[in-house]
Amino acid sequence: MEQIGNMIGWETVKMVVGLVGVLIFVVFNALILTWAERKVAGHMQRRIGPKEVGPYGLIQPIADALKLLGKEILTPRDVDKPLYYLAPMIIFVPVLVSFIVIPFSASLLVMDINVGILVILAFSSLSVFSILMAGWGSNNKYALIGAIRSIAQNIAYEIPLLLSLLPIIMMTNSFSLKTIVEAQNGLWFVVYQPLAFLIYFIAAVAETNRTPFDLPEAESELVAGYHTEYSGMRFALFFLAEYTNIFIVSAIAVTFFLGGYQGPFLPGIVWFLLKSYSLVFVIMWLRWTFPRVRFDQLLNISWKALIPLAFINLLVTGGLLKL
Amino acid sequence: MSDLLYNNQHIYLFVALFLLFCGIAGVVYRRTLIGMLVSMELIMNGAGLNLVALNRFVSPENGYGIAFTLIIMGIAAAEAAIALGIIMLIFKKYKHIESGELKEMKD
Amino acid sequence: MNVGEIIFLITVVVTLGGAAMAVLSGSIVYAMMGLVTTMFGIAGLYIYLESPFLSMMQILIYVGAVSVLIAFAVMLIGPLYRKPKEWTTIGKFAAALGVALVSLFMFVRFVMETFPRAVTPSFKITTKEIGRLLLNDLVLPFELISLLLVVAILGAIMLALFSRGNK
Repeated sequence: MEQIGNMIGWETVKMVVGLVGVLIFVVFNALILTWAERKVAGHMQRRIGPKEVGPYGLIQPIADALKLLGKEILTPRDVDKPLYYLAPMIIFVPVLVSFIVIPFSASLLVMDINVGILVILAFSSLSVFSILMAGWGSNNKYALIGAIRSIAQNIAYEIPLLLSLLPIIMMTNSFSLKTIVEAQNGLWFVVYQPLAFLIYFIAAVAETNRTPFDLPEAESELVAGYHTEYSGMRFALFFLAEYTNIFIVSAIAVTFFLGGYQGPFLPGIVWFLLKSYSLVFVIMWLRWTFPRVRFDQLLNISWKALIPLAFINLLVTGGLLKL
Repeated sequence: MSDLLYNNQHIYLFVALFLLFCGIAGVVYRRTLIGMLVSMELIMNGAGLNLVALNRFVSPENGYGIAFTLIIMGIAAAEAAIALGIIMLIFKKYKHIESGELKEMKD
Repeated sequence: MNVGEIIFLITVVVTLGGAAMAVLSGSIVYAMMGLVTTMFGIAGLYIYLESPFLSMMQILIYVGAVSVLIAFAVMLIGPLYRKPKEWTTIGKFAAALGVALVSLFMFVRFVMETFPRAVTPSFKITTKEIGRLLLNDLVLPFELISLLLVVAILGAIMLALFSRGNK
């Protein structure tokens, strides 16, 4: 181990180990979330979820994965081949890059980039391209319309996302995520910026295309939206990316507003996972509580309500900081 | 440190020159209006890369190149928005976006 | 030839390849994909030029906003419009080649002499200094660009109203 470290350099070794750990975590997270989604859905609807496969249905996600892997991979005839094949791969790039900068605990951080939050925001605007390539490449009218709706929703909610994180950056004078978590030693930022937390949460739920904002992939409209023509393993990739995205936005909310990995008795990473998964539970709870928002109402909420509120919040924060 | 490949400003200036060349060739060669817009974005990117490369190597004591490149990005974004609005209107009226066929103002 | 240099060469090749694809490809969708690839390559080059803030801004603004705008327009116009025929004559191709060679010659002869390869200085411009620069020395371009953006928004709204009816 020493020789490898001296040959390549410790930084590279740490980064490779970190990346492998991130990939393993992504897979485990997807398994846990698939199970949790069905259990939470079941209990919210006054029934028990899956309970046959293993104790409390814990092996259910593995059964689901095996089923999806065993399906025949159908490629429709006239698809635009480069775009169709690249789309499920590109949807993973923003997710993996975001994992690199999030601090899981005081020492578990793949790389502490000094423009950390900008990396996450810049790459999250890249997921739009994957939707576009899936919609266009499928050579299918419904997929194209679903993709256009999804892109309109995505770019509309990117702006409140950015604007609600700016007051935190103004307060801590730094883009690096570790500095932001360390600055919450006294009091969590959710006490200073409750409005920003709400705006961020609503915008994040809309960004990940979850109900109540899931018109692009609703089951009763437009067949299945932009991933109509994908089957088997590729469909599994889209779903994997969506579940990991839910975890990432909760992790960013925890890092920015809820104190990150800080807490009294337990080690840092336990607190971090506890807080993140409680926010994930709230997002799943929202799915079975609210009805789906209509498309023009969806855009109205962003442009007419969230953006002015975020601007007012930014102005008030800037004013109060300088007085 | 100076013998590393990326600490040499000539390669950045060459890449910027290549982007400028591709952009101008695209504006002349491309027939659809959106193709011309894509080539214009290439020209602006090349200009920005040029400014930042010269800032880093020739006058590294201030950050004028970086600030101006940010302003160029803003200009490119505004220009792309208006150009695309006009292109959509042209498409609505004439049902095509070939620049060779738009001849109403020609004598 | 360490890892940094190899990745630098890959970034340069990606940038040049993307630019070539943006100009030479057949359909508009591939041209747009070439543009996105070029922008990623330039973001990588900005990291090698020791300005990480500008690199992330490049991805955020160009790839996240401008390219999405162009992609939206391509998707709304696209399905009703197939491959156009570009202008290809031998004379134009020869002229392009001539211009390329002349500019390459001028680059090698004049530009590379004007900026000789001295000791590489160290470059430490942080985001804070860029912000101070924008508000102290470059405040006039800053205000002008905000004016430009307001005018662009108003223009876009007027274009949208034009397309709706005879307003």
